[in-house]
Amino acid sequence: MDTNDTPYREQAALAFLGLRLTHMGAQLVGPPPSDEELAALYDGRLDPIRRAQVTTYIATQDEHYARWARCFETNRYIAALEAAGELIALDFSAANTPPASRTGGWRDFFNNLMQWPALGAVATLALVVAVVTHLNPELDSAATIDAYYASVDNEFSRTWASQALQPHRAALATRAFFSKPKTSAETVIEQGFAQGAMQLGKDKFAALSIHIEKLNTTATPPETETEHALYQLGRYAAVATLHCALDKQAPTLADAPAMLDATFKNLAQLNDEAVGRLRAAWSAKQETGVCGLAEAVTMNVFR
Amino acid sequence: MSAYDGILSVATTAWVMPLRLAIEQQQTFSRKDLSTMIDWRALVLNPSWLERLDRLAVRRFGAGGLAEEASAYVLERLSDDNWGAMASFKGQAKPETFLHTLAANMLEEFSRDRFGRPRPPEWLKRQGESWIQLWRLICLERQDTETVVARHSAGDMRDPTAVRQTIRTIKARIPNCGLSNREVSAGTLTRDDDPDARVEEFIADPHTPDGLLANHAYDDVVLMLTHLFEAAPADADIQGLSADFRHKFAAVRDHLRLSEQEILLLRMVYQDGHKRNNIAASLGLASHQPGRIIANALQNIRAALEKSGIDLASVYEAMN
Repeated sequence: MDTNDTPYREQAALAFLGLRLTHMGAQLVGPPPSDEELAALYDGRLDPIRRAQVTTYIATQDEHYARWARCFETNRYIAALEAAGELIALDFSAANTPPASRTGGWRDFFNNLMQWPALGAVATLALVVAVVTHLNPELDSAATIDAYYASVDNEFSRTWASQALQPHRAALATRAFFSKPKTSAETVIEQGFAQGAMQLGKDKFAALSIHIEKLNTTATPPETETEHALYQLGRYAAVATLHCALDKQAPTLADAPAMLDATFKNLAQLNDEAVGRLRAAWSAKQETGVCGLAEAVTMNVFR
Repeated sequence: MSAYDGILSVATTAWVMPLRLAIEQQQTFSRKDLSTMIDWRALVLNPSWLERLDRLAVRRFGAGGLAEEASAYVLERLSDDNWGAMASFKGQAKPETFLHTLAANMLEEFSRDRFGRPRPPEWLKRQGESWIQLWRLICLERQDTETVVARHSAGDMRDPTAVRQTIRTIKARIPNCGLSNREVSAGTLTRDDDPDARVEEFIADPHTPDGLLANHAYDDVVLMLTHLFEAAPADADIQGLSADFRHKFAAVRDHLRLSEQEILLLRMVYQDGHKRNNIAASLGLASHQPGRIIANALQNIRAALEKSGIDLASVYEAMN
C-alpha cells in the first residue's frame, strides 16, 4: 500500500464512501461468534455455512469486527515473527498429552466414544477413505488424498468432516434436532447432498444416474446447529459418493451400514490394551482430522 | 429403485442412524470436552509461548514495566479457575491461535482496567478499528508517536506513512489528545472541534434517522477525503458543499448493495490498512481473490455514485 499513490487514495475514498453508504441490514443468523470461532476463521477451519454467518457478524457489527481485528492482527504479528525467525515454533508434544489428573482413563474415552454416535458416522467415512487408500496404491499417501480433495473442491479438506461435527455435540445432547416440526433429517441431508453435488458438478452425478433436479433443494436453509451438522453430512456424502465412483476398487456407500456395524462391534470387542492404543493414536492424530482418525482406526482396531 | 434412490437411501441410513440412536437410546453425551485433551498449563508455561506473550505485551504497551505487568495479568487470568478460560475450547481452531486470541483480549482488558473505558468521538469510531486503537494508544495511554508507528507497522503489517498520517489527523481533530490519561468525556470536545456538532449546524432535518445518517455519512466523506488528499484536516470546509451533494449521497443508498465479504475486505484493507496477501492467507482465500473481490466492490460503488450523479473529482473540487 502506498498512500502517496493517487489511485490508492481514490480507491480508499471509494471504499470509504461505499462502507458509509451501503445497506448494512444483513440478517444475522446463528449465535455471535465465540473467540474460538474467530480463531478458527483465521485458521481457515470453519465450515462454509458457519463461516458465512461469522463473516456477516464481523462485517456488519462493529463490536464483533473489533474482536476479529484483534484476533487477526495478533495472529498475523506472531506469524510474521515466526517467519522472520524471531520466534521458535511451539512444541505441542507435551501439551497434547492430557495430564493424569484431568482424564478419566481409557474406559472414559471408550464410553464417551460409544455415547457419541456422530463419531461413528465420521469413523465410517474415515474407513471409506482409509480402505480406498489401502486398496489403491496411487492414493496411499496423505499428500495424495489432500490433492484429491483439493481437486474436488478446496472447501473439502481432510479435516472438514470432523470439524463440521465439532460444534454440534451440545445440540445433540439437548435432542433439539430440528427447529421446525416439519423439517426431517432426510430433507436436510438431501439438501446438503444436492448442494454438494451441484458444487462438484451436476454432470459428474448425472453420469451416476443422480439427477440434481430431482433432489429437494427448496427447503429453508438450515438454522440450528444440528441442522447444519446434517446438512454438512449430506455434502460430505456427495463427496464420498464421487470418491467411490471415481475409484472402481473403493467400497460403495452400500457398504457403509455394514462398516458402521463392524465399527461398533469391533469397538465393543476391544480389550483394554487395544482401546489404549486407539486412544493414544487418535489423540496424536487429532490435528489431521478424518484421515488421522482413519489411520488410527485401521492401524489399531482392524489390524 | 434408481441408483440415486439407493445411494441416497443408504447415505441417509448411514448418517441418520447414529443420530436416531441418540434419541432412541436416550444417551447422554458425556464425552469430555476436547479442552481436557490438551494440557493448557504445559502449553502456556512453555518458554516459547511465554516469549510470544511478552512480545504481544511489548507490542501493545511498549517495552517497560507496563508490558511486564500486562504479561503477568494475562498469565493470572489464563490460569484462573484451573485454566478455566480454555474450558470452552472445542478443537475448531488451532490451540495456539485460540491462545493468542485470548491473550490479545486480556491485554485489552488490562488496558481498560488501567486507563478506563472512555468512548472515542463518534466521528473517529466511524473511521474504523485501526483509528480507535491508535486513539487509545496516543490519546489515552500517551504512548510515543514514533514508537507506536514502528510497532503498528512491524512485521510488514502496515505502511508506516499511513499510520503516521492517521495519528496526525487524530491529533489535529482532538486538540486535547494525550493531555489526560483518564476518561475523555464528550464535554472535553469544543463545539468547533467536534465534527458532529458542526454537522448539526447545517443538516436540514437532524431528527429523522435517515437524515442524520446521511449527514454523518456526508461529514465522514469530507473527513476521509481531506485525510486522504492531505488537506488541512481540522479546517476542511465542509459547509462549502452544496445541499445538492447531500441529497445525492442519500440517493446512493438506493443503488448500492455490497456483500458481507466485500464489506469485510474493504474494512480490512482501506480502514485498517491490512495487506491483501495477509488477508487472503488468513481467510482461506486464494491470493488473487481479495483483489478481485475488492475491484468488483469498488466498481459497484463507483457505478452507484455515478448513478446518483456523484464523482469524486467534483466532490473534492467543491471542497476547495
